Amino acid sequence: MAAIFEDKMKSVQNYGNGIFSRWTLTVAAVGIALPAIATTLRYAEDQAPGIVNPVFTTTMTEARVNELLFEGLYTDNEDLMTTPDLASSIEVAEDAMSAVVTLRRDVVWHDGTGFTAADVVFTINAMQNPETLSTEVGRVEWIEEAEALGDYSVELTFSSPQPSPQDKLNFKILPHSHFNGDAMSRGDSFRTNPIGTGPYRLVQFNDDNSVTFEVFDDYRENIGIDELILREVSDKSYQARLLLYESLEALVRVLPSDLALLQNSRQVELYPYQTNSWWFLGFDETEPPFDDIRVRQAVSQLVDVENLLAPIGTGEILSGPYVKSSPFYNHEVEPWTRNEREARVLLEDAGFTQEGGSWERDGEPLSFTITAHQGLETAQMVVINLQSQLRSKGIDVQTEFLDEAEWKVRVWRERDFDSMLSQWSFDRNEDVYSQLHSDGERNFGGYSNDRVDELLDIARNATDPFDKRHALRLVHELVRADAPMLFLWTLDSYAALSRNTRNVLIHPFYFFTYVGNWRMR
Amino acid sequence: MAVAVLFVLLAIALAPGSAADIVANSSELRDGLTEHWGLDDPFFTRYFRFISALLHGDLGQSLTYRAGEPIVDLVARSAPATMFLVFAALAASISSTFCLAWFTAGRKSLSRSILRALSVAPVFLAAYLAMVIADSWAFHTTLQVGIQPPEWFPLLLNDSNVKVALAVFVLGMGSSAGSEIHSNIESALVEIRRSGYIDAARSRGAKLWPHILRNVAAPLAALTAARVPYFLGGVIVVEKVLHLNGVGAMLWEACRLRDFPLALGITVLSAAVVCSARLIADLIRVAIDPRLRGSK
Amino acid sequence: MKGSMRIAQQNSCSLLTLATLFACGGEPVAEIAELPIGYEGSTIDTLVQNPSLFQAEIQDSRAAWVAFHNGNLPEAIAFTGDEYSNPRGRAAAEMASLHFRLAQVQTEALLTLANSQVDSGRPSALPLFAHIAQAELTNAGFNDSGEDDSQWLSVSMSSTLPEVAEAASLLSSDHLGESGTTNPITDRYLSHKTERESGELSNSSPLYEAVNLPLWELGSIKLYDPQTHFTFGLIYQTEAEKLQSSGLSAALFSPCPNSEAARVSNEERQELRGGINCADQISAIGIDAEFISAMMDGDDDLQTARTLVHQVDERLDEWSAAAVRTASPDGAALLTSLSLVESFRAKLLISVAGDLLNQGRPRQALAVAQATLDITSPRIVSATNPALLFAVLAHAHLQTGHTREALDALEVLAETFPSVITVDETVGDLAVTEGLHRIGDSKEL
Repeated sequence: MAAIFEDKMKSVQNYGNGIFSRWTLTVAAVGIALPAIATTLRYAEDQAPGIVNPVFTTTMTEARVNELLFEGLYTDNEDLMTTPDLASSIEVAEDAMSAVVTLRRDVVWHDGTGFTAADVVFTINAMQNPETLSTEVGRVEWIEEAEALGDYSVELTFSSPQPSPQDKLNFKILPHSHFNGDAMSRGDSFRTNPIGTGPYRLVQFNDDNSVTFEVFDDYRENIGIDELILREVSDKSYQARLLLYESLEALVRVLPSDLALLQNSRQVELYPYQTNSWWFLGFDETEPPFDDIRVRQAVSQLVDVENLLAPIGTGEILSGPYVKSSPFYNHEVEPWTRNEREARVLLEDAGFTQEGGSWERDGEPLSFTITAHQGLETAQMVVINLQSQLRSKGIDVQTEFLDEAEWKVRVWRERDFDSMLSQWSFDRNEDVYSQLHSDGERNFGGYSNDRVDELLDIARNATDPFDKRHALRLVHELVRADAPMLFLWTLDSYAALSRNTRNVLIHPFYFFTYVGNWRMR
Repeated sequence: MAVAVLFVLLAIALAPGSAADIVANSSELRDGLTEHWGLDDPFFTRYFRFISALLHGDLGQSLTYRAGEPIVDLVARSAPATMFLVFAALAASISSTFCLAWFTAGRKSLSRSILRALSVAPVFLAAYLAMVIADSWAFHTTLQVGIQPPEWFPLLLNDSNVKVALAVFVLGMGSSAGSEIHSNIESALVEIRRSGYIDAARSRGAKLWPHILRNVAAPLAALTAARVPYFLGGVIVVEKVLHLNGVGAMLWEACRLRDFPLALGITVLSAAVVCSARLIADLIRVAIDPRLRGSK
Repeated sequence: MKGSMRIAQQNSCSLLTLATLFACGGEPVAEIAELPIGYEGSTIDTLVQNPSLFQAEIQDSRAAWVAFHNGNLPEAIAFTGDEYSNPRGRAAAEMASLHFRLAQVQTEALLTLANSQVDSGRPSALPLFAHIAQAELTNAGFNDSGEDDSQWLSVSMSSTLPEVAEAASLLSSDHLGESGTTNPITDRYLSHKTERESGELSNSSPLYEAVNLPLWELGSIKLYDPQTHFTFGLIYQTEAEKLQSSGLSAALFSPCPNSEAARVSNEERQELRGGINCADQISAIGIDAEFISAMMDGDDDLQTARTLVHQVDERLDEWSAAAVRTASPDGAALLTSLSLVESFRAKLLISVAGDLLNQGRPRQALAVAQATLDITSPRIVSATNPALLFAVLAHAHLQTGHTREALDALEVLAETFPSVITVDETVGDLAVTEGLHRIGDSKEL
């Protein structure tokens, strides 16, 4: 508590040295001691993150928090070009099979200890350690070995040539002294007491489920906003009201129905926050009935996607794992459309017969459960419509909504579901490897197609943009036909900030990357 | 109390997922944590372990909500606010409906229908609507015309007496509590007014109200005690919807995060509150009613 | 499906507009309070007070004006006959602006792409396309840097691909067109030349038939014609010059607040490559001239640009209030159903954003363009989201490194303008190149 108080005093002093220094001087001159007003930005999320550790991040809410607290060796500058963050330079070997990264010497962790090469080596090794079971392991798999060459230099060796390794070195670095051994676990106490090098440090999880972040006084650059508060407001429509009521300064995602209200307000600025995201209905290919491609294709042709989309907003219906503006979207591939006759043929081929309106095979009805995440906005409406559409076609559909805890267990770990409704958000690289490759850590449905694997490998290792594009457009075509999931739609998405927040530039995926430059009036 | 613990433990055993599931990313870690936290121990082992710790005043530590913090501390921090809410709601509800019932008992009255209409909404809906209406009203009468809004605005994010008052009102009236309490008191009053001793007093020309008051105290105490568990249940929803930091909202989070020791601790303490309320009500009845004293 | 939805919406919008156009007529209403700066005598003022003037202006060419107002430029241009010359001329001017902007986007993306592929060692026609594109940029007067394009030509002449080497040497000679050989690249080059000289597109032009097909293909490489949008821009500019309008018809649904400003802009059109530009008119609507000059003297700072938009919005809020106050009943109907203030805002701010881009201020241009977008229907070309807005957005995104986001803007245009595929594919190749060595990140929800 005393430490927090001291930190607060320091931040107030720092603030006095900053933009209002003239004010403070004037006030001091007339002998009146007025406290400087600290600036606070309150932003809303549907649900506060339960744990904070970038190695286990699965949701966008967690990714946004990570951006405040942690840093990578490299990051995106305002023009989205790779730029050094914790690194100061890199020297790539001629054969591109190794590189030496030199680190900044002026970086300290939030606990006051210095950042060194040991932290980089630990992070890479721990992420790669099979015991860690990191959801982010794909981001370091290309590094064969990491070795510290002194305190501020790390040698990385690669399994294949990496002409521009800095482009991949944007995963967050964690402090080795806060973990035991070479692996990490979600159970580590770090999850609630995270220590990073980022511009903000986590002060506490509050009783009202908000999370307070305070500017890190020893951060190497001047930060504009003193305090950030993540407010959990589970009612999304109330988030927009609170912004209008000037009780919040930022919403990360505005509901389509609130856009007009906010656009007309002169207190609010809307910013496109277009993560490339799409909704899907995924099928578990490892168990009946969806182990049979004909059943997946049939169900895909019994769903009226347009009707599912209409009640929840405007968006674009997709035929594959990319949004329509993606360079990888194959415009020659059409989305599945409702075709009952074709669906009937496919189901009959798969051994089903329709008895009294219901589809059956060997006396068992064609039945499955749609599992959806409670946190997915308006998902309930979609699932219920989907259920009624399929029931009217003779398929017995059950529904279940899981909270975050159960979702992590059932979907992420045990992959125990028949079909699931969810949404993936991608950064601008739109890398679907981990969703569709048979080795992918997000391939929950167990989809496997050798040709798709081969093409995804080609794309990941490509050094030629044309080859990569060609391969991924083929992936789109193959995946649509295999129907491991029914690709649904992408929705337009905006963030809204109070006009009192200035110099706002939003990173198209991580949101808070440039928060240090934001200012408040 | 022991029975309450038994039921809660049983409910927990049947609920899907555990605290280990929340935290663990591997089956090894989950198994390790399950063992470490004793989540897989036989049912009765856990039961007796908890009862024995409880007898020593130890409720254990939170697993996922505020990992490692003693539950006693967590609850002690939030309980006063929640207890105030529950008992203020009880007091407000009973005193106001009593005043009303005094005049309406045994008569036709429009106020009964009004009360019924007022309290028909379930507490979650009443709390949400009250909040939306209060916030919209304050917004349109202040911010939009360019004057400072009241301190409590917006209700959702500010802790204020207005919000507590609103919570007390919603809890005291919502989910038909207001009309039910009113009708219970009316029945008691009608019965008392028809009783022989009131007739006797009336024929003596004595003042009636002291007699009525004394005789209604016992059923009132019983009614209050009977209402405590309802209000303790309602407070979970009210605190969650209105973002009030209390034990109710904590219980909600404990369930969401599968922090079963915390959920169990809160439930057991709630059961203790209910038992205490019953006990106090019985004592009041005994103190007031000479017949009960006589039978003792 | 999407296309049909869009058409349906446009149709309903058109019907509403038509109904309004038929309904106008009526007497002007007396002024009752002080009017905001620049409002008096503005096109909006004229229209809401004297809707009959509007009726007289559009009565013979209503359908073409409707299409023009809704941003459906190809439809507006398709009307033939002298009575349609005003809306057709206005649509042609906007088309010229649009295509010149798209041409810049495509060329800049192509040059960056070619530079990034210099060391790839993979033989392709990319350097030759870069040469052609850069020469076009210089010819059109966009290339202020005076960068030399001969390096691309010399690289192409020594290409291992015979077709490319041949085309390069033909392009470098003075005898292009006399060789008698068939080479797809030079053949297309000559077609462009012919179309431009004739000032209109012939029905047999490959620009009609093959506009959305790659001009050169080898394996996975597909390259699109870098001259398409320059040719379209030039042809529409010629058309617009032929059909110059004046008075109300020059100012109607334009970025200019009044007819006089539109007249001045028309006179400067040649220099401004096609479209009507009234960016300088923001001071005429009451934006502090000192603020504007400080903005233009300062850094390419996006907050200043946002403040500018806020000021424009405040001024236009006053315009809206004044219009409501002074409108005749028919004028009031016109005001709302044609979104007069909103569409003027959009066009004015697009002018400003385009101007900022031309002055090398892409961040500010992006901030203005993003604030211009009517996000209640962000994927539809409309009166409040004109086609040019998406081209400006794409250009500003490209210049600020947001190549992937530029594709989002181009995607909107692709449905109405098939030729946009040439830009879309080129920018797409660049986006892929920029992410080539990255590992993507994905999260749930």
